[in-house]
Amino acid sequence: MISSPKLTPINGAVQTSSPVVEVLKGGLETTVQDYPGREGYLQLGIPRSGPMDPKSFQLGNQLLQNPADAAGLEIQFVGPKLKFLRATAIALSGANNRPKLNQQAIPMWSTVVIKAGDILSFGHARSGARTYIHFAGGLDVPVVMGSRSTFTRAELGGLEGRKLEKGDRLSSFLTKVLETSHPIHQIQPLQRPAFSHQWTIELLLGPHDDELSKGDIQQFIQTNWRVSSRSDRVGYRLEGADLSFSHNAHHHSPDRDEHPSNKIDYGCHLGTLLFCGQTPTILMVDSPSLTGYMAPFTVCQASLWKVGQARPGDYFSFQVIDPETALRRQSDINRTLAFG
Amino acid sequence: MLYETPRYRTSGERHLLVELGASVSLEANFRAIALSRALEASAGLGTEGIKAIIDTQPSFTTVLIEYDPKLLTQEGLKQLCSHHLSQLVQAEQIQLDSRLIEIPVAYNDRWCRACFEDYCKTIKPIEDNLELICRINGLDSIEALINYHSSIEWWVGTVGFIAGLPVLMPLDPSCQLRAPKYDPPRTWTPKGTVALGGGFTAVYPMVTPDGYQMLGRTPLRLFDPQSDQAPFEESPVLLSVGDRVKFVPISEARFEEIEREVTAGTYRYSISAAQSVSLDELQQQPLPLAA
Repeated sequence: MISSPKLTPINGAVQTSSPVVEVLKGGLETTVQDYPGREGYLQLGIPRSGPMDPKSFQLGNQLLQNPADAAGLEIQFVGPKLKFLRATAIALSGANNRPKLNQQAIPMWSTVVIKAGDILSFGHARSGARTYIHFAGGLDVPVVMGSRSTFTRAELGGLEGRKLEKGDRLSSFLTKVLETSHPIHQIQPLQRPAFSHQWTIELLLGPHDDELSKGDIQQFIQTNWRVSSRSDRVGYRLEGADLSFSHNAHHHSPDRDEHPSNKIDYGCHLGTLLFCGQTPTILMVDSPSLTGYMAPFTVCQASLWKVGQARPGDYFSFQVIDPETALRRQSDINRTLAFG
Repeated sequence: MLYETPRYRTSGERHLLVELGASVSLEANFRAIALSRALEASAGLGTEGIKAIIDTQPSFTTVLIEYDPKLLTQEGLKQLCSHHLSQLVQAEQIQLDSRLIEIPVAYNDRWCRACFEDYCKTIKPIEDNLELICRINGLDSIEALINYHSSIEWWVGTVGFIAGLPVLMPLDPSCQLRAPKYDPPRTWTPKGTVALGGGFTAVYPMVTPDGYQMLGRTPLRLFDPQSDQAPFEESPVLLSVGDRVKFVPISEARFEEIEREVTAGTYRYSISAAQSVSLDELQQQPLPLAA
């Protein structure tokens, strides 16, 4: 195991915390997450976790001048209802699920000043699957294996390793900035991630593209894939076409099971696109670290946030790009995140 | 079979999958573990280029490497792997640090039987797991199967899937214990279940779906990220790649006793000190379990 570097101290924040919210309703699955999550524990079977849409999450932290590793809440589809216990500032990023403060609409992508007793609630998003609530200073939950991110399957990190429930209280670090005079920042519309129901996802070939013929790859690229309702933080399943397998994939080693998509168990990660039998599956932030299915493609880093924001019933079309272009896409994103 | 030169497979912008052979063998696994450990040792040297290695995941025939493409190009990483591989001696002589760990197992236990009955009732009726393994492997009784499974030494070839789940292969290459997987897979498996699939044994650190045939259940914890007590003071998982495992049959009563001791923190895990072993040595004579 390679140990992860320790979290950087919270800049501009006093290292004490006090309860900031009480949970009145937990929502569908609201969890504490930080970016980038847990690094260096693949070989223990511990996934990275962290936000499904890292782009929105990082932009949101910047609205509060939070450190990059400040923890916030990830809302999936149905938001929570929260009561604030003290004055603070928050920001909302990701899918626009019609946030309200004391029944009054408040903006996404903007700093919002909060008084003790304020109540935050949500409606439903028309596009996008995940919304983030960021707190000035960041949420204070224990750092477990280098991260505050929740991995519910192993009851790890976050608040007791689980999603939020009614009655929970969360603390955030105090900041030096006076809450009532917190500077208001906004992310301009052009800088925000663009949400859709038809997403273009860029892929790299490999690790097992050699097991498909050119025709197989063409068939995969030309299909408009529908996101299955059996999609979550572990993986996104796709529906759309019957895959045929070329001659290459039928040369089995005796250790493999029957189906041509089966391999000897090997390491996989966030972004690996598996062929689970006939079902293409994109591994996401809580994915297993080993698989026995072949992976002809890997989703580019710069496209992962789109997968994380796709709703069941949305469509994916894929484009294959080369590694240099993929690295350039990611540095473009990093540049837009480097403002302020 | 080991390849003469490894196959490097691109797995996105920041992962490289190094494939060392075409089929499962202890030789390929030793080489994969040795490459992974060499890369991690070099990550500790602290020079800019080598710090770029973030994580490694060794498995039966492969090593997955996560690296920082801003610090190290894929070409540079391939060269580093080739360098480490060229430094390795023949697979049979590779020396690896290895511990021997005893895992008590209540074989043919009531908890796995309850899970089996639930599957038969809610999904479809299937043959009893232990009887199926006996039939396929020509063993004449469940006792003979338990004796066989607990008499051989198992090698942790990879750890992963979820939270410290070990996949073990027999150290004795003449062992041919095999089992088909559930089709469709189970939706749940009791925590601590010891199960056989293909030629591998897996142990489940938590309740999880899977398809291996259930043999029994261990009361030991395999994953404990909160504990700072032995054996979890340095790692949150009990078993690491390169460890050896002996399964020790226990009764259901003893299972419950150990479970209480584990919860109370008074159970003493039987783990030998790490010693340097090679495949040649391991296959000639099993090493004694340290007191």
